[in-house]
Amino acid sequence: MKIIKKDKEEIITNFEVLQLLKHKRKIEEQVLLNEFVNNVIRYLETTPASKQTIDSVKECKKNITKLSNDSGCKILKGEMLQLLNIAPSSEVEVHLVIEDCEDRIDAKEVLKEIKNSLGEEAVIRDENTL
Amino acid sequence: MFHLITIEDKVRIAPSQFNNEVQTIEDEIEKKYTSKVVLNAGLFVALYDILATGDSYVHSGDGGAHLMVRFRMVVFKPFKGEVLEGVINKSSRESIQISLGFFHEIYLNPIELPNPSNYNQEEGLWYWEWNENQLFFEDGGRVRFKIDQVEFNPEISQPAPSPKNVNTEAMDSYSLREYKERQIENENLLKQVKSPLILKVSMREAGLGMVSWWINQTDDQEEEDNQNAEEQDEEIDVDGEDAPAIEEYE
Repeated sequence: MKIIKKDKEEIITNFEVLQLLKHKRKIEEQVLLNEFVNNVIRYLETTPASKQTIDSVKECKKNITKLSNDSGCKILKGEMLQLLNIAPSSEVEVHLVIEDCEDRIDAKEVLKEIKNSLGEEAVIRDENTL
Repeated sequence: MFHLITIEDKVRIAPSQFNNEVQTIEDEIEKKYTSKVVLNAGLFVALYDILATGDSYVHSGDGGAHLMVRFRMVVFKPFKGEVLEGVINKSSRESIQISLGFFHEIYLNPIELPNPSNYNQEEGLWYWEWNENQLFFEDGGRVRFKIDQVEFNPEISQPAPSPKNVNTEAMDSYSLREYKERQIENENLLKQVKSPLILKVSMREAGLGMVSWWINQTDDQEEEDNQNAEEQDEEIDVDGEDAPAIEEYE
């Protein structure tokens, strides 16, 4: 077994993983499809990823990139990933995810873009325990 | 939280599956890796796609074909500084264990709790002292945390099984000493056994900790502002009462 090193590590959003696993579950139709995959799906369904769609994720990414270009900074890949994974609903969360947020980008604008593109219900989270 | 990595590995295809090559490769890979940690890569979650396969070889003594496959897989491996959500599994004075439902080896050193935090002996829980409120880290509560350290532990060899029915009295002094040494060695080996992937996390920044603390943040802030305003009013009132008293003294 050999890991092929690449210059860039590829990161993948929670949403994509959830889609992949759900697709796998559908085609295999096995009841015994291992417990582990079911646990991952169960976990991801408690995150905002369960309420996202391909279009909404694409649009959100486009809008935030545009917003960051307008304010003259670059949102890093990891930060974008986390914005999509966590779907922040308050400013404190945006500050948590984006480093030096106050110097780089307006947190309120980011919140607005996320709410507009991902939809209301994607941002509001219910207090489901795992 | 999830990464896509490219890997090359050898797969054996049994003769009965020669007409069903791709499906067999997928099955074999999933069978081999599912819920295992690939060292320095992460915890295998799913096969993403197959990029290429090499030539098939048949070795003497085996009817199956062996071939190299290059494929991509989804692994769970958070990067340093990533923010995740999980559920508190167990709290103790030494550490708090957090679970993601599919991964449980997440440990929080109490030093990394929001400052100032204390341990409640009776409840067996940690709490954060915030404005004279005790905010508890409840077991089963959803928490948000930041990844501090991703630790991979290579597999270490297991101790050899000790022989049953050892009669220590029948041994001479030399073999008795050897027997004891081996026992101590085995115990040390077992102590070193660790989970292959351990995450160390912290909660020292604003926005981390129990998710419920931050969800209704706007409402809380308003309430807080109101409270502060009331407190200020009271202070002014107090000042108003104090003022004449001072005059009297003069």
